[in-house]
Amino acid sequence: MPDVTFTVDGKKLTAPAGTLLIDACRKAGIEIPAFCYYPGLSLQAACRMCVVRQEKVPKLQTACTTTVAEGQVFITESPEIAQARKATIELLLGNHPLDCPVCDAGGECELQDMTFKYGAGESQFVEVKHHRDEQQWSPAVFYDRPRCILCYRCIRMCGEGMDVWALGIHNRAADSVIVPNVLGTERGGQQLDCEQCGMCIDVCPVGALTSGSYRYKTRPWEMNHVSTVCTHCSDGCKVTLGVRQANDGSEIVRADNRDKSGINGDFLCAKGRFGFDFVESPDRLTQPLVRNARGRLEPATWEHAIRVATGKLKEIRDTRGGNAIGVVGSNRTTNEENYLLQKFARTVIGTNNIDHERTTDYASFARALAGHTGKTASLRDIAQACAVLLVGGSPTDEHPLLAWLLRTNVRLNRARLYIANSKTIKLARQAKATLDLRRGGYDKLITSLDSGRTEFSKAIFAEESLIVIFGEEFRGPAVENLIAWGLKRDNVRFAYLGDHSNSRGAADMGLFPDLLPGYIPVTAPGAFAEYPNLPAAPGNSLPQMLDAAAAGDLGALLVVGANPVSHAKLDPSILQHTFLIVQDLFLTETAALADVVLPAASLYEKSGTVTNTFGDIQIVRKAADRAGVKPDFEILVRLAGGMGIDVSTLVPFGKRGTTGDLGQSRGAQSGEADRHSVWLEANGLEPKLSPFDPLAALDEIERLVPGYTLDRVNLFAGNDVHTEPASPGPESGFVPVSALTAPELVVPAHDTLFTSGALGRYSRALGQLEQHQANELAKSELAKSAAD
Amino acid sequence: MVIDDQTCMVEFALRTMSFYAHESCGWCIPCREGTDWLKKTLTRFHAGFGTRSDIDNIQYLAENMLGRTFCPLGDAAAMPTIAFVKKFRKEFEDHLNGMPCPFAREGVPQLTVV
Repeated sequence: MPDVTFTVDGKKLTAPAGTLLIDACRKAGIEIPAFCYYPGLSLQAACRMCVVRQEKVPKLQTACTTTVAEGQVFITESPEIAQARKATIELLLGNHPLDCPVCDAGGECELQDMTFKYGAGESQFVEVKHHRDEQQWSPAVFYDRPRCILCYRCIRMCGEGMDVWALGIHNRAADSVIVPNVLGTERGGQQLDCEQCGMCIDVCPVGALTSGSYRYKTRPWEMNHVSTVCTHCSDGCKVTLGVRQANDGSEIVRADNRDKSGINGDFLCAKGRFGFDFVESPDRLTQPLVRNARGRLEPATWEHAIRVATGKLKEIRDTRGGNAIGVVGSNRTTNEENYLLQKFARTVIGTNNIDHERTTDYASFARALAGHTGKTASLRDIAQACAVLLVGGSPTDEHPLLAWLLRTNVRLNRARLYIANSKTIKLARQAKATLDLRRGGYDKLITSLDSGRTEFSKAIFAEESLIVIFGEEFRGPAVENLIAWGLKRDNVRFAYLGDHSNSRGAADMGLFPDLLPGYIPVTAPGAFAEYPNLPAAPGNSLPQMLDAAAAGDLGALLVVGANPVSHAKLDPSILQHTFLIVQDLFLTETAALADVVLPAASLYEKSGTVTNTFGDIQIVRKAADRAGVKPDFEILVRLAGGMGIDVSTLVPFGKRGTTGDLGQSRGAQSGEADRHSVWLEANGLEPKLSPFDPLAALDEIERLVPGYTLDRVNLFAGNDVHTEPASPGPESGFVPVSALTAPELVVPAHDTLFTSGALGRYSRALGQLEQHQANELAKSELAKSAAD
Repeated sequence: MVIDDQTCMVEFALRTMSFYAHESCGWCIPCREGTDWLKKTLTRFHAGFGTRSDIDNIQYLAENMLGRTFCPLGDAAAMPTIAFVKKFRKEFEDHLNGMPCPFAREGVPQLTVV
């Protein structure tokens, strides 16, 4: 659209023709109030707050529905307009309960703000207000009808944004009321059967929709708001955690993303919004545990636990060699921790026996893309893509943000979505064409695409550019074939769907027996030459380590944030001859068998970076705090120290540090330390005085890991920075263990909307939501069978 | 509209507003809340429990609905109400002495209010 120039309050503004006046004004810093207008949703023009005066038009116009054109003249602030807005607020307050002192929204309520601004504080309304009792629609959503101002944001968000359509409106005039979708039961109109994303609560401008986990807990100004990254799935949503002082540290009371930072904007799913409470679980480990002489785990001090663990590790390394020890890494720890873990395994223990619970075959992905740059798609690319081919996967359940972005892109930008799947997935409603892979399966996909006979393959071929997103259905050779197909065409980029918050980071950071960080083979000559005593031969994969344990050949196993006993459905007795050290949040099936259990901090209680499955790296800021636990980074440094290593060879801190930390990287709790470090920097002193500072490891990652050349300004400002996997190509003759020979190493988690592996199990909120969903399902099946 | 000169204009205003309050779809704030508020105030006022400030308030509300609503239903509710207060202020004031409607008498049929 060509740009047009128009006048607002005497200021000349320029915007593309057809832009909504409210958007153009907001972009120019002119505030126009609105309740019903919400960017990205359909227009409502119901609240009449955004009224402005347009020259030569008799009535006041709503800025949310007025599109700008050349030469128009608007006035947005005048006594007439102020009076109109004040009157609207007076009318709203006529039926509004004015219980601000107990309302959750008090302090961050749009109605409250407007009332202060336009001064409608005195009411002339003496009639009795409409009252309806509060309703609980689900464990997550409460509805307080009297507070509702009927802006319909929730209805549109649920329908258009989420494609769930669980909310609607009943009655008319002053009796209008928002109702959830479950009707006709004894609690008709009071239950919600939906994805429980909580977006309706998030967009509610007042306190009408409140969150089951946050309501009546605190006030907005009593919290610190820390912007970090969600720890659940691998989409990497930015999340703002509301944190408050507690007896044993500081607790998280709320999660949302109202500042709309990050790739996800204001979107969060049920897991991100309500599933943070696993950190408060009563089952959380807060003291190290050491197995005593009678074979029972008993609480111990950190010093004792580290001494026991390192004593045994050192003894086994020195007597039986490093290869008698195995290391299992985590899909949820930060990049710095994963990097440090493999460096610890390779240089301190001296073994390549390191692996993680693979949920996706990133090694094959990196290998197939070797030698090509610009062929991976970031989440931002997907959000703006003209055409997307989604093969396999079930984004609505496993990647809610991806599903949201695809839906939004189709709805707002008319993107074309093509779906090839062996199941019917919800996103098919947005698809331009679908290919049913129930017969033939994913092996037939490429033949089918190349055939050029079906409508589907014709449509794909007609696309000038394409992003191919594929799920874990593709492993090993299948990944290579799919990518080879795409590389033959111009403008095809790829994304591969993994499961956990840092699955990609674990792979990128070399938690592989045969690959160093950046997918460099351990056998490559000269690789990571600065590592002292790097073993040259590939080590054992996770199943091989477990086999070795069963055979009695594995002296010790260090497990960081993983649960191989449950994940591989292992017979616990095979670990009886192995000294087992587990770093975890909970006493999982694996931790219960351990000789030493070290309580670890969750992702919400540490700093660092994580990489989502699309390769977008983001900064993690420490939000909460829990007495007794330590970040895995610190635990690893302590283990190395306990084994008699000069830890500065492991973490380049002190004088070895390279670039300075300007202090933006850590959370609210470390404000003092941050100011201190700024002062140190300004005085030419070295800010990284601690070996526990993960950013020291980030410097080394940037220096040594191909593909991790980071735009630090962007990263530290809280934005996402895209990275690409770099790996020597197939022509080098190197075949990663996982890539072609053992696709069975990949075991996908298949999480649902309300499950998130070990973390989800310890989340009360997610448990309740899962139960609620099961109840609703049972009820609807009962109703169906009664109807038959 | 043709109205008998015996008709109480406050009652007529109430009858009109009851219609619009019932018909309002509830989409936009000025119409949804305004018609409801006016209906409630007029009901109380007509029953003899009004105050002098209510008269101004009724006019104020109606004037603030006029031209601000999504569709013309709100305008249609506001315009006659403004006219009733402006042209028949005396009849509104006659309702102020705490009595039931001064125009209620034998033989004059009551307007039904929904």
